[in-house]
Amino acid sequence: MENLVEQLQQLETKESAFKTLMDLYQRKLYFHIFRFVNNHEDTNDVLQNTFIKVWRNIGNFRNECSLYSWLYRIAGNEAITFINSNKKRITVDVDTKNVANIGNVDSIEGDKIELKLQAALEQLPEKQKQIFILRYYDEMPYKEMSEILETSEGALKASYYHAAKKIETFLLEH
Amino acid sequence: MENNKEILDELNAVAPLLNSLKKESSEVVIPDNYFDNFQTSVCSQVKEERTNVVSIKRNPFRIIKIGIAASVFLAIFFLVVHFKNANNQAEIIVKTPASSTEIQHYITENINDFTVEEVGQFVAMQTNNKIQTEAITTSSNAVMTDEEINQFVENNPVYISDLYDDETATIF
Repeated sequence: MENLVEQLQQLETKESAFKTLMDLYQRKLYFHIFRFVNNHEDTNDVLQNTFIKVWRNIGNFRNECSLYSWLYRIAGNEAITFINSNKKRITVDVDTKNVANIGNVDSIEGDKIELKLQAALEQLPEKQKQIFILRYYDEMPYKEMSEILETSEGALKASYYHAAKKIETFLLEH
Repeated sequence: MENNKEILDELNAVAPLLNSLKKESSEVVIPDNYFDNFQTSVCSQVKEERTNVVSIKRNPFRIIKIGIAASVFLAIFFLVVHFKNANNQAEIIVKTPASSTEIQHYITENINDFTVEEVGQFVAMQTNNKIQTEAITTSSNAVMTDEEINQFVENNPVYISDLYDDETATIF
């Protein structure tokens, strides 16, 4: 991986190394971003912004954290920036009231459960949502999360518990 | 590295319902060949960016144009500064005429450039000034008649030889 960073930082090899980087991470980052914005078009925009930012700033990358963590940090920040600048536009297709009409979680299908989960996620504060996505969907160890979010592992655990509890309560109540 | 089981156990302890839902969650639907097209799109964007940067760096005509513009700017700048300085100096000369001490000093420094007559004229002028000054300071009315002036000059004769310093043999 260090070799890839070196190649990314040299003008002659930057382009081919950048393609390798995209091959390695585009899918993971796509799903990560999707959890924030909930639709393909917006995910595509944010993912493009993420990689363009990586292209522009790779020269400043100093190996203080892993390339993987750095990419997730950029992707998360880009997603949050995107959400904040489009707050009115981005809404979960199903609002809280309609979620209640879907039915009891025991009896509903996968797609509907996913919608309920999305609605529950929308209730979380930004940071808590980010922590929940990294742990629940990306199944990331706290150590790596700590690198990405620059927060202590203890604080992350506490925050994840709160987030999971809130979502559980939401699912039970709606 | 933490394994999946640890993560599931952790979740199960806090949110058992959520833990059971995870397996049932639907897959995200991605268009066919999306990632291939995505790479092409991003690469073309970064190439465009790179071309723009390179064109600024390498286009010789652009560099020449910038050089010419910078030269013209510098020339105008120096002209303006020079013109302003010249004006300021002229103003200083007009506004502050040299004092008699300065003239005296200048003559001393460049005594060879002056004729005896010129030096005599200057000494006479100085003497006149001295007489006038003394007359003004000694007279209560601050005005002297011609007779009084003549009498003063007779009583206080000034000779050129008096103005030479015997030891250094320089004037004044």
